[in-house]
Amino acid sequence: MNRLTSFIVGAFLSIAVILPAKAADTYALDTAGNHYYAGFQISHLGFSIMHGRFDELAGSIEYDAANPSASKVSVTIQAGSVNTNHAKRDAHLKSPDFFNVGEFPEITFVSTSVAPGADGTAKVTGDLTIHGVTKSITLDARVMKVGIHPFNKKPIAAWSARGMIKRSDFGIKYGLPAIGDEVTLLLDIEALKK
Amino acid sequence: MNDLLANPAIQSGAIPFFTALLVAAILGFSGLQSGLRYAGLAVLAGFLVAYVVALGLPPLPPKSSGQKIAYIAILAAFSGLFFGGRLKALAVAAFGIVWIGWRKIVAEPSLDHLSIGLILAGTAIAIFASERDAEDSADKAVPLLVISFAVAGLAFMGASASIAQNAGALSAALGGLLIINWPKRRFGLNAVARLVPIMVLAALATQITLFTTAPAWVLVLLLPALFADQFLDRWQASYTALTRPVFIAFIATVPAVAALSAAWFAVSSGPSSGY
Repeated sequence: MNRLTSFIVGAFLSIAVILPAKAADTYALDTAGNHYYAGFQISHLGFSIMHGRFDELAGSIEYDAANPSASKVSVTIQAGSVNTNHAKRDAHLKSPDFFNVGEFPEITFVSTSVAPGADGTAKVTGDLTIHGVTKSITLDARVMKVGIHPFNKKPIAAWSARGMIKRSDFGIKYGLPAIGDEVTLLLDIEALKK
Repeated sequence: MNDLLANPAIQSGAIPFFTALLVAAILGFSGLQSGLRYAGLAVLAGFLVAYVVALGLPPLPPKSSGQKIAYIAILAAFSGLFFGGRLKALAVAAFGIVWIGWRKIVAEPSLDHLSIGLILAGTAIAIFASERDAEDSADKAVPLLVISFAVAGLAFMGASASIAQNAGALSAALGGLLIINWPKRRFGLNAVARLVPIMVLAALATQITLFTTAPAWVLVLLLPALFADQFLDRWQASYTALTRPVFIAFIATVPAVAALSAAWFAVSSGPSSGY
């Protein structure tokens, strides 16, 4: 390699070091503004569908708009924040009969793969850990909007995800089949770019 | 039929009672000498059948404290059959308590560590007190039945129906074995029959203390029930083989009622109830 060629290759390599390739943007769940909803639905004695939510969660999303399959999600939910708008039922849900929050205070989801679909949708597969048991589940996710917050002018993004699990798969069997086994998961979040 | 099996009173009352009664009868009346020795396993059988009906088969290895209860019951039976001796039994019981509460034990020092120590002390008292009797004595089995019933009530106040059902099943299983030994003492009221309820109660007490909202301190109030037979002897009341277990049960009920009353007033919002 002559001197001119070496100089040109070295220049390109230097530029590559100075200008690294664009990485995924990291977003943190908007816990300060509580702009999130982590809920669930379950059959109650075969009559109505009971709704509940968790009031405390935190997490982050590494979102790569150019390559969505490289995105990553990590969410931690405080199981003791379960809220079904009924104090005694909430106490029961926190007890060893169900979530057993004294022993397993956190519910976690860590993505392992993202399969993009059409129109901003994706199948997000990851490890969900409830009650000390970890199972792989797939959520149907959708990017709702990525942009600039109109008031604080900060980058913000919103996602929605839905899924279905069987609580018995996670060792939560009390009350079956009177209280349903299938649980619908709902997650709607806003996250602020770090 | 499904509705009947889903009824907690059936799951934790009738099923363990009749299972224990049937197993005790089969083993005890088999004519085999080993049958007389193993008839105490009726308590284990009644408890396990009730456990599976209410909560399903526990996974192996178990993850949560509730899933470990069935295995602790089996370990207790082995201890009663093969290990022998109070210290060995206490070691097995201590293992069960630590296995249930290890997540709290390894956490930052807190009142939970004191609670676990108190539960271990209470278990030691129960084991040492129960071994004072001769074999095939109902004198300690009857108070254990009453204590189990009280623990069920306490767990219910602590918003855990599954713990309450386990304790209730234990009480009913003991009842199934005791009824076949009343008024005539026949078989099975040996270490196996006593260690299964003692160790399961220790495990349930650990669950209640560490993982529920129940005022666990009232468990201490139940300990005097273990000495109901000695209170009866000091009382020097006249009794027969028919009435002695009844008197012991009555005396054991006094601290049980005191404990449940104290728990009731301590639970500000009242017990868990259907909703």
